[in-house]
Amino acid sequence: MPVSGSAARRYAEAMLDLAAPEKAVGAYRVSLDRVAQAFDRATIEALRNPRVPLGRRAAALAAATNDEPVAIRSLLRLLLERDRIALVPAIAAAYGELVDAREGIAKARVTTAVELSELEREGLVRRLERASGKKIRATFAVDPSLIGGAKVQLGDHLVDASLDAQLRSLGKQLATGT
Amino acid sequence: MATSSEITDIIKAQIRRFEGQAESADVGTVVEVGDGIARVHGLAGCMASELLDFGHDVFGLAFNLEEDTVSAIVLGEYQEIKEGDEVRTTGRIASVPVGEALVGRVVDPLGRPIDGKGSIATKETRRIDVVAPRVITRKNVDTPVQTGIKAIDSMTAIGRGQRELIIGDRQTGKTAIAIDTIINQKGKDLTCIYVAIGQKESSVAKIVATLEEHGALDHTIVVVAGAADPATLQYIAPFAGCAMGEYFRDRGKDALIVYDDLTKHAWAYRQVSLLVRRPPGREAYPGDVFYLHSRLLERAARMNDENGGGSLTALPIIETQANDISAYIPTNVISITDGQIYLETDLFNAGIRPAINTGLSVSRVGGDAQIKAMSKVTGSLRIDLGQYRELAAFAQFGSDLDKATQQQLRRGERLVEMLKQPQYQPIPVEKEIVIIFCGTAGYLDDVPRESVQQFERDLYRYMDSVGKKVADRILKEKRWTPELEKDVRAMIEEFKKSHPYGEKPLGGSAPQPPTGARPPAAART
Repeated sequence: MPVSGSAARRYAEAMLDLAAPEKAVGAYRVSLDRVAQAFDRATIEALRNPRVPLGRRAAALAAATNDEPVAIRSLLRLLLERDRIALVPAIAAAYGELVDAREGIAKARVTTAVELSELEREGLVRRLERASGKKIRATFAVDPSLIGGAKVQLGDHLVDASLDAQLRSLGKQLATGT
Repeated sequence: MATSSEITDIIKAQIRRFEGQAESADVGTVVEVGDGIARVHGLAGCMASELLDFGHDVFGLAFNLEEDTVSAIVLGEYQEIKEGDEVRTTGRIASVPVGEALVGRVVDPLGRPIDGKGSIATKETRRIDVVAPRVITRKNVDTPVQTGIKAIDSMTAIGRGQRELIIGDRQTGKTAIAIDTIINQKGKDLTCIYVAIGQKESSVAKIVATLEEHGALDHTIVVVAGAADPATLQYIAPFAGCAMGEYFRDRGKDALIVYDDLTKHAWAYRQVSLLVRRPPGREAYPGDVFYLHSRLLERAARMNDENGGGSLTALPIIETQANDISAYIPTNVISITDGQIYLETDLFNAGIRPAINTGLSVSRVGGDAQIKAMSKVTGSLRIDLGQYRELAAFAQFGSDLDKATQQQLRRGERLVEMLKQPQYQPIPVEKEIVIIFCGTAGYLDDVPRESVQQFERDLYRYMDSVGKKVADRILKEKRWTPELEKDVRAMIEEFKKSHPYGEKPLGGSAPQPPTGARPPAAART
């Protein structure tokens, strides 16, 4: 199935609007993530199985999610009735992103040629936070093919300050002679 | 040749000059690729029609910007692109190399040479899709483009900066008119650009060979997006060719661009649009197919003197199906252009070549651009031909015709004969003027119909030798003064004395005038 991000985002936006006045933004997020984890392919298929009457599927779903907040249970029931239960993991992800955006948190992926020390990591994150004006939640990775320097991806934006990229751009300049 | 140490020095200098800078770009991931279209997830900061770097030297154009994804058209081969590949924005809008270096070359829509004559050293690039010059920078059309085709230069004259459509069924000589026009610019100041869209490579090869053979490639750029090239390249080809032409226009020079043909361009655009899921409209074309062609053809313009005074003339070609000019794309382009040259299969098969239907062909601005002498001698040519066609249809009933009618039929037949012209033989304007004058002033009336073309050839030869002085005067004065007319008449009479067609019927088949003035239909009864 293609990534139908926009449908999931609509549901996530609705959930966020419901959660905000009830001060349950964080609680819903935890709940949605927990539910999403349980939704593997087999679960989704079982829940969409038309040979089982809708009432029994709804009952099973309700029983399994007894501990979740009421709003989440209602959402799941609605999705089941509309045959959109497969969207649950996407909704959870979209909800997480929306909450992050609301709180000014950006995700960054930092790739370096060598493993960074804890101190270096903290320094880098602080500098990124200052540059972007957002709180940064960073994940770190090591890729020796970069040779040196670092590659930082912030959302859709990539800053490539690796030696590998610079060598490639030098190569291109030499080839075209400009 | 630089020695190896010199090369080393150059490279050293380049390395010294190199400034290592962090590359900064928006990135996305390919989620789907096929049919020349790639859907890319991410690329949140991507601009409309921005150039995207797919890696492996493959580039694309951002075509549709959607909430989560960007639909890009891949320029060139998309086979190397895989799902999950990283795509980067470049911050550039699609552009092509332009300049004098391209003249005489055959290139693809991205300006890369495909004629095997080595690389092209251009200094400049221009964006392929720009807004047309605004009205304040333009001037009215006042200089002619001499096509070298009698029927066009006389009745549907084309001016520099005009858009004149060439329309007709397949195999009616549309391309031939464009090629003849290009050939006629040999040794003159008009740079030509021929854009082949969706044509067979064999046809293109033949056209290039023809141009080369007639020495016309030296002032021509050929842009080719063949039938086997991706629709994406066919879609941008006319825009790329137009950018190359604008280079000359904006430098105060004159250029001519032929789009051969816009029907296939509309097909390519339809394909691309449907693949990126834009909604189909009439005949499944997207809603903005009119705008596509109008913004392309608007870029043909005559600039005023403050803006260099250059011009870009456009000759779009449209192929109709079974003479249907009321189909979607033909009506669109007819309404955009400043006139059309309408070619018909029936005329073509009747041996009237170029097969121009003079009744339906018009030029809305070119008349002002005609040189004065030409518009003077052309005078009633169009009306005479119109009346002749009407009478010829009427005369088929075989009733007795009065003398005046017979005379009109006689004149018409000869005019039709006079306007015939073989391919690849454009005629200089002074000769056109004299032969048309012969026709409209009645000098052909006593020449047997079969001999009109022989008469024409002999007259041209005569003008190259004995009549050279008069020919040069027409070219110099450009106006049709009574004195000039007197001299031209004297020359024609002199010529007719030495070349007696009228008195000596060829093969004894043509009877003497006026008794032998047989309308073709009268013989059929």
